[in-house]
Amino acid sequence: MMITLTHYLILAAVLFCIGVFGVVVRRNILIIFMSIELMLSAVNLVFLSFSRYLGTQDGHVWVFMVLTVAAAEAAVGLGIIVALFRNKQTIYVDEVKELKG
Amino acid sequence: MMEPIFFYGFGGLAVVTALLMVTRVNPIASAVWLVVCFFAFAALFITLEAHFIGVIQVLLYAGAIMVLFIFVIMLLNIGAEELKARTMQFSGLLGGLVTIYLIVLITLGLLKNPVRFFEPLTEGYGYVAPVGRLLFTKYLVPFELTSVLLLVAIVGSVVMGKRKL
Amino acid sequence: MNHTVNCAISVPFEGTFPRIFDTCQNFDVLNNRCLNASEAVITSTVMDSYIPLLMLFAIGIGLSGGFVLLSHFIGTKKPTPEKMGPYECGLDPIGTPRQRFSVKFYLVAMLFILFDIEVVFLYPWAQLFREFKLVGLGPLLFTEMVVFLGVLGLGLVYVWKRGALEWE
Repeated sequence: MMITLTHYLILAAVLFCIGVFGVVVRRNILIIFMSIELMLSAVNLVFLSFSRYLGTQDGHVWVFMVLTVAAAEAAVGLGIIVALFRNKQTIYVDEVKELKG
Repeated sequence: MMEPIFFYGFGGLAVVTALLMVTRVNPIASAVWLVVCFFAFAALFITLEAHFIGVIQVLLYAGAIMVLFIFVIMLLNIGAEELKARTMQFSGLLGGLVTIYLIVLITLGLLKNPVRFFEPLTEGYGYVAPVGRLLFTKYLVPFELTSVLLLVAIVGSVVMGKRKL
Repeated sequence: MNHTVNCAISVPFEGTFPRIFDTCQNFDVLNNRCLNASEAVITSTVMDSYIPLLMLFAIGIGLSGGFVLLSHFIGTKKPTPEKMGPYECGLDPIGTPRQRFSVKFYLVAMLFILFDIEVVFLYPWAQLFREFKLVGLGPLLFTEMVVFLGVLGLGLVYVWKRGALEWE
């Protein structure tokens, strides 16, 4: 049995949807953030599978860029979480509702 | 061939650890499961002949980003008594069902396409040099813009993290 | 199946191997002769180089997991209040062990990540520099990296002036 492009795409879709589940259902902001990282990695898997299928390496460069963006996002996002915790003493997004009408 | 064994082994590991990551109450446990998940991702990248990216995945994600996550979790230090035991509520059930629906929808859509096999590759595919050659010639502008992005991230995180400006 | 060795990579032990390794691309170790290109079947030599890594993981997980399971199943467990305490002798602990980290550690860890990425970009640059120099593109590649590092150096100057590196 051969592993084809579709196998990798389905795997990436499943992992991406698990990340979506984490973002939608969980209320701990740290776990929401980790789910976002998981979704970014699933997208990287799609990039690399299509690169492998097409025999080019442009996808590898874009994965590089996605990794850089993920690291920058983690640094700034975790800074925001620290600032949020300092001001509100909570990491649960359902307790941050000042702007709720 | 060993290829299906590696694909199903590491793919299954990635899915199981991702599910464990999403469902743990304690964020430290989540972070550790996510590290295992990223290792499985790196192995999957290597089965796709992306050797350099696989190494970078371990170096950057499992090595650096997750260290930052664990740092912040310990910094915030949510004690066990403050962690809310979140039982399966209506929103969780609904979210799970919608997720399964989404997976089935995407899978059915993908299965409609013709089967696409992987072709044999040229020598040196996915090594450091060919990827770098693209990075420094064809993708020169994105590469230089990356430094601006990192500069913005440095400034932003110092502004966020420093108590008194 | 032919057991071939790609002999082009035998640089670290140059001279230790017979001279035939220098000229022969595909050396059959079992039959001790050189294969020509049509005979040689190179079956994913790159993937073979991951076998030691897999063995390392397998031995590591197997050994540690095996010992934990072994002591779980064949060890005798007679818990007493003294044994379950944090120390079998000495004082009972006072207060919680969960001390909150200082935010200073976070700033250092975060700056580490951002400069870690910068170093990751240096790996392909370092490997490609000689190749680019040979085709006359050395100054271009050098300038690219100087601009990249210069912009990040601005970030370092900002962090320094802001006092984020001072330990107060």
